[in-house]
Amino acid sequence: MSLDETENTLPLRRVRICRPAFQDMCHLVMPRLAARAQLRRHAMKLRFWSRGDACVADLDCYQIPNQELFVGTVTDGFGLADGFHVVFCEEACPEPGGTICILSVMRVDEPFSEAAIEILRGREVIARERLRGWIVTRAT
Amino acid sequence: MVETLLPDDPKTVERLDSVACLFEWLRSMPEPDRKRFGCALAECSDAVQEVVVRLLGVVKNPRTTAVERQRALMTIADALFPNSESGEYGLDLIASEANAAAESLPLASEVQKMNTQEAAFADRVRELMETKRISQQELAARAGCSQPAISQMLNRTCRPQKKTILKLAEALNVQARDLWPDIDVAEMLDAVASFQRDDYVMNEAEARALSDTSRPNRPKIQPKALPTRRR
Repeated sequence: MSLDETENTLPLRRVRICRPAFQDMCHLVMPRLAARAQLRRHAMKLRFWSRGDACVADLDCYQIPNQELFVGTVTDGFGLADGFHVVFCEEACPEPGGTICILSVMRVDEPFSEAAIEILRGREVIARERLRGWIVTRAT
Repeated sequence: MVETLLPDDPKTVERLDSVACLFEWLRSMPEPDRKRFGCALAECSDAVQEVVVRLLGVVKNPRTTAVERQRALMTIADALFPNSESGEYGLDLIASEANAAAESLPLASEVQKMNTQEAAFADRVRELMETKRISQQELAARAGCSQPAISQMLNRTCRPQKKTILKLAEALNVQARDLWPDIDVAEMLDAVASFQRDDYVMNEAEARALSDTSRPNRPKIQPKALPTRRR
């Protein structure tokens, strides 16, 4: 019954947050530095995420139907929110292990309306294009 | 002829509406802004231009909520005016914590506090596991989470959520505050925050307690007579 058990061997990825998602997060929990720092730390768990995982560490994850968008649910509420949805996508570039890009942070009670999906898809297009473009910039 | 040019397809109509909105928006701008906007849009790829046009449709739609409108505008700004300072898209979440902490003293103290909380939690869980002779696998099964999750928490690569602390406390047969001493404070803060919500509806007991003036908040300490001073 040793504690020296198999350590986590899941691939580590870089987790990047796009500017609009960062602004979402700031608007939701801006006045509370502690809440923002904690939310950021929960979102960092996504570096252990692999496609198809229903759970990463203690975050529940699911895919938005018919989209290449995924949602991690943070159940710890801060301020006036009972919890948060961290919406993200996976991009093979620019890191070899792939990059997780956080596209939005929403209150858990906000619905994924038609407009919300349109915005998220827009952010996804921008993020993918710029993450791919970054390799070219870096290489040159 | 007109039907050929403008087929009665809702998607085409929607797109034309968005393009009209783009022109309307451009017309309303002062000349220098219009030029800047036009140049930025022209520099974008077709796919990103398409995103801008579609999001303008979202902004214009009367069913769009204020929050969604704000999000759409922030996305358009991100599309047109990328932050090219670092040459990378977005912000690395791990690096940003360190950078932000280096620049802000209050944030640095928050980061320090989180590190201390996580370290104390990991030490306590490890200690209990050793005392109770429970393996990570067994604890994971009892708490209903995965073994890698336990390992990550013990190695302090993951901050546990409140629900996880409660589950682990139950699995280890201890009080949650034994694992995370601040948990009661967090609960109290959450309760206060939820009470202050605009749409919060009080339950009957809370309403009664607030309206009950018959029992003012008297101190529970029994008053004692002061000793008489000898002269």
